[in-house]
Amino acid sequence: MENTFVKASKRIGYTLLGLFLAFVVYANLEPAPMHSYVKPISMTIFKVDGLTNLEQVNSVKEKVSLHSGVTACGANPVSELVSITFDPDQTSEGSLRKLVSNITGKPVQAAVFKTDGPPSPQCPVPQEYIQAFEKVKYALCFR
Amino acid sequence: MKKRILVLSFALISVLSGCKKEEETPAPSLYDRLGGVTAISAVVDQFIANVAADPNMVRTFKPLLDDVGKGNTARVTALRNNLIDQIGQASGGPQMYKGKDMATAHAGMNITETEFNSLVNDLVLALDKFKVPATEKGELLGVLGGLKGQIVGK
Repeated sequence: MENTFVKASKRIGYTLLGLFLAFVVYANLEPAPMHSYVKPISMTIFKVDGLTNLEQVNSVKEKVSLHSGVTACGANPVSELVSITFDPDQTSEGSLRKLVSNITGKPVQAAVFKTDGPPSPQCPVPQEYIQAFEKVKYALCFR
Repeated sequence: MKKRILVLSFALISVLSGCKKEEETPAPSLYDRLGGVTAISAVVDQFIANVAADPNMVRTFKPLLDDVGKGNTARVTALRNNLIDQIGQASGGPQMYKGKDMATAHAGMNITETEFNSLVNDLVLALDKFKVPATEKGELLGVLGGLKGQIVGK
């Protein structure tokens, strides 16, 4: 009985080791893409009712872009939206919301998107799964 | 005498090899002139921010925008990674775009001429923000504009 257990454990161990080594080889077949060397970003989009003045829109873009951790800021007077890409290690959605509110002097809400057109097709595999797989792959890439 | 011949030969070889090297030095690629992966990622970030605020882009990017509203930026990350790789590769950089080809990626999306033009305008605004020179801007837009036929009306 004990002998069978040891044999089974060894087989499972060798199989897992083999799979791991195969994955390491797969991860090293080609170098990691350049985007894996760029710091990842986060994004937030705010709806600012009354942000229809082009001068104010440009002022928001300029001031928000100067904030530490912000990599880009877009704003549009038609949609009244302010979109910000940022480094989550340096700033947060909460502090950016306060910042936009202070600059505009208007209430800032979460953006809600409505459209009448046909919906776009979506990838059946959640992006989080694909990115988690890629992260492990690039972590094991030594090229 | 032998010493002189040796010195002259060495000088001649040095000059010739120098000339050869000069001829072989390739002109800097668009990728290098744009500023490499750091500059391209900065332009891509600005482009994505412009697109997210653009009312003409809501239909096309609705799933991505809805996810951002829920605090999930996985789609944004995927789009950003693909854009960095695609622009990098198209401009002669070391990147390898591994996403779907444009016709497959946009199949069933019914992207209109207006939506495509808005997207190009968002990219132009991003390039202008970083003061990309007219030559480089023209070259890059030319490369990406060539993909229009694979994107619009699919």
